[in-house]
Amino acid sequence: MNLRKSEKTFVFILVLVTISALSASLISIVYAITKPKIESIKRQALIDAANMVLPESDEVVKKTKEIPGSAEKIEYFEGIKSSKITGYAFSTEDNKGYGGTIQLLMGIDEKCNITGFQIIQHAETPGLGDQAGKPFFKKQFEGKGLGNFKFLVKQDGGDVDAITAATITSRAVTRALEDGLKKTGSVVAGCK
Amino acid sequence: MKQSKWSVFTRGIIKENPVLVMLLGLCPTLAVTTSAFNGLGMGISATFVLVCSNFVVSLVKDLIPNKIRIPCFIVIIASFVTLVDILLSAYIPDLHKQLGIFIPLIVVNCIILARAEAFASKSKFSVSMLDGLGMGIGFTLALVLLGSIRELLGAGTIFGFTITAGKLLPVLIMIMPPGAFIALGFILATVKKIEARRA
Repeated sequence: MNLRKSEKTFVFILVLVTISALSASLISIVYAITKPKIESIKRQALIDAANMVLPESDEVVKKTKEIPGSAEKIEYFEGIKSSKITGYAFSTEDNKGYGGTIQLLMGIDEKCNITGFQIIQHAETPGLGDQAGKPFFKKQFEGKGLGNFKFLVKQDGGDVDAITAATITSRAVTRALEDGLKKTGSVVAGCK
Repeated sequence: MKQSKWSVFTRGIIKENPVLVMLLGLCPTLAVTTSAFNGLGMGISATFVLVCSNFVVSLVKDLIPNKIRIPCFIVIIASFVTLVDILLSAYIPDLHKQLGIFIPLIVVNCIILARAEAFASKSKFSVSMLDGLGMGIGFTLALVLLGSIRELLGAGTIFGFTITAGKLLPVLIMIMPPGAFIALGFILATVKKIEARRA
């Protein structure tokens, strides 16, 4: 069956469009089915992280605050124990990690110092940059705030002990923490 | 050229192992094998895509005009990879986090396109699936082997179980890209040596 060139081209287009349409449909269906599950996993991951960085609280409550004068909203967690607020948790990120954006959840106490942080998302090297999530690196930030700590790695003149062979990751996490601390001022009265 | 179903299945595991013999798919092999678990996860994900794409390609092979077969294969492969990405992030989020960017990169894993082009587009769907499964298992074995060696030397553990950690100093470079090349080089040299002895 010898087709003219225009007929052949038409068949090519038809086949490509059909295959693409079927693929797109299948992917859309699976996406729609799994979307609620994926959203709830993300929400739960944040709540788990908030509980981990605010060990003094019995529960965490999600709150949103609008920044006056801009369209931005800050989402954060309040840590509650016996009906009193014992701390807050804020999302923060830095996009100059070794592999891209590093997203953290950072906890602060009533004195606006860091209680701890959890890495929510990162693309750092397994075994090197991802050590930023280990206690030996995180511990040095506990109790530190904008007033009593220089948020730069030692190589840059600051107080942070960087991870060996993972300086870029260390710098990114440090920046993210400092940015997070600066953000707290718009929500928590009494923090700078 | 009739090959027994069994030989179609087994050749992907040893005789024509895609990584160790045919030297295909080396990019993800080197990049993902920072630990045995990552190698296993990547291997299983790629196997799933390989079996599904071989299956679909062998079903539609008569409907696809020869001149546009490559774009069609790629759309099919990319669709299955997208499905794996979505399903992993919904049902095995930890593995999804570990594999990260390498899941979408399964699309350009030469092994999958190579099998679609060399085999699935010319064979019946049952045999194509066996070929996909065999090649996938071979790929996974190679990844787990390389991942275990790199994890053992670079972190002292295998699959997270402490073997030498705390007793011997880890060789950090094994977890980094140069270590991947070094380890793979030694493995391939060993494979060639064994092949030469057998011949």
